[in-house]
Amino acid sequence: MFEGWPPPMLDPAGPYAGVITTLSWILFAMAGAVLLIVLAAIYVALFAKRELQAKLGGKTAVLVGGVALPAVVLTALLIYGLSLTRHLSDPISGNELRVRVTGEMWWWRVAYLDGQGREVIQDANELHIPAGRPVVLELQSADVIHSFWVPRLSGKLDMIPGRRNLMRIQADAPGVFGGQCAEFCGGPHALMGFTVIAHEPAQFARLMRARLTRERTSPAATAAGARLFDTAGCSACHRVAGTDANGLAGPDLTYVGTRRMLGAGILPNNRGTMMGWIGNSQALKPNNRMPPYTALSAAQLTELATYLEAQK
Amino acid sequence: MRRIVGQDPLLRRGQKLADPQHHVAGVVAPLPLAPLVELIGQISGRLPGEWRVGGTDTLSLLAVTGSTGHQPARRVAVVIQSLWCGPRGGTGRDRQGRVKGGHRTAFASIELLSDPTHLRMVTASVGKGIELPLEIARVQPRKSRRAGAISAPIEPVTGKAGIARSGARATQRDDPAVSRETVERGRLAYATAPEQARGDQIKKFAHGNATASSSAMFRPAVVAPLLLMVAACQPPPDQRHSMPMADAANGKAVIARVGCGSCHTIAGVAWPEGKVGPRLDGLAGRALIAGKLPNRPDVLAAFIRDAPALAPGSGMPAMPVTKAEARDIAVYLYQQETR
Repeated sequence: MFEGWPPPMLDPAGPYAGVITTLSWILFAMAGAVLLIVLAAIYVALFAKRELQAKLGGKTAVLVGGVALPAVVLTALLIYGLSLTRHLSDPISGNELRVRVTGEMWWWRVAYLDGQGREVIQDANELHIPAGRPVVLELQSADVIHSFWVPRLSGKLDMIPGRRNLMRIQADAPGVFGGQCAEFCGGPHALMGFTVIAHEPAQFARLMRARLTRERTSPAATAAGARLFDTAGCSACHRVAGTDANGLAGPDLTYVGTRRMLGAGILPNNRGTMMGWIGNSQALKPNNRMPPYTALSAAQLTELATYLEAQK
Repeated sequence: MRRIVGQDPLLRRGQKLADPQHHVAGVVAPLPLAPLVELIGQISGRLPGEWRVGGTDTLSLLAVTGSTGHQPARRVAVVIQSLWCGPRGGTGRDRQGRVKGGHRTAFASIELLSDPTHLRMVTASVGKGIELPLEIARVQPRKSRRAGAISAPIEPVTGKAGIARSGARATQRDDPAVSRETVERGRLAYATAPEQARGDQIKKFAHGNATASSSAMFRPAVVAPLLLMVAACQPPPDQRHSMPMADAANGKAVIARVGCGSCHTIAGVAWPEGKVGPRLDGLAGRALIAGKLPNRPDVLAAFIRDAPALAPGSGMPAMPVTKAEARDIAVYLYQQETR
């Protein structure tokens, strides 16, 4: 359907997801082994000859099989698992790209940080990263507990109100990776998706430079839409950098024209879906916090969509 | 005897309804005071031969004026026989199965007696009253096909009703036929809702008086019926929106990819169910696209790709799909029944 969606869970595209996938397979295998042992024990208990039952049963079997073996196996597994995934929570070295991702109901606020941790580029629902480089995500929440999960790049990590959780992701090669909120966070939780786009490092640098030095232009073709964006009330909740629109309640729309998806990773981004989302997003993502704009005419919807398409 | 056409401005207006592209024509016989008119028509008989469309046919029309106000009920029956239809001339055309779409013209007239308020309807062969269109349905080579006349509203035209617009569907394209076909008997029957109950009465009347129309059976002060008849062939549903090269399964995938559901609730697409544009189920039975375009497969495919060019002002934007994908979407939509 959409590129990178639904995200495959056991197909790692980076080292952090790779160790988790390895650990997952080991756990699957061990769980399978335990299942076989238990089934064999049940078989012996029910159908085997008396002599065999007497030989295998007894207090020793319970102590060895029920206490000692699990303790040893689980401890070994814990140590192995922790060592395998120890790099997931490496402290910030200062060289990584840092991005603050804030879970909101039901979308993601994204802010790229500079070396001092200041927010320099605001975006939403989409994260651009360089391929082959670890990226540190500062995960936090603005309301309830969300969980950030881009299966091909890393594990899940909760976004907890009042806390800042660090998570590392890395993509080995350029690509598009779907993500999803993994902690039930209210009505449209299932429609709270995310997109990570990994670029070649040079291309990523160009993209970030372009955004930092972005000169806002206002072509005549979008003038009507720009006015409407103000008068229809869009600017109360949405921000478009360089204009009067400075609302912070909803996703930042400064680069909405470049996004691959709309509505927090759920719809492809084209003029039709843009108009559909503006016109009645409640039909698409029930109970999201954007009201339906059924009072707008077709021409007005088109003007707004034209304006938003031009926000790059 | 006067021909209806050309005598009365209203009639001329009616004649303009003839749409040579879609074989839609109208008949208008306005009688200034007729408050209610019903027209019941039937193509009786059968187009001869299974090798062609055309031949002679019989059309029976019954026009009934009702009454309101000061006028007593007046009824006028018309029987039209020997309706000419189908292509004319040429030899061997029938056996070759090359059937060309053409108007079938029924003839009828209203004769004005010396007293201008006397009217009578005469049978057959005189005057020109009705163009009964029969469209040649789209036909695939070496496939059997059927075509039948359908009736569109034969609007009773009263003081306010005006000229009814043709309801013929442009989906019935008049491609030249390339194979033989059997034309089934068509039926035209229409009565306005308030008049529906009188159907039986009307029929009885028709049978009793159909052939008596050349006599001076009509009393003064009768106002003649204003008739508008439109008819077209409608192929069976499974052949109506034939798009042999299109792939409905791919159409559904493209619908998901470009997000048609953002605005439309589409049968077979569980999510999203947008509410900005119209529902897209049962599209095969709809007459118009965006309220203005004929619902033809090629038009629908073109509309999906570039709606602003075809229907400026509708909210539908141009969609990022290829021509082939647009056709796939169209055929998928045509397959979805009304939910």
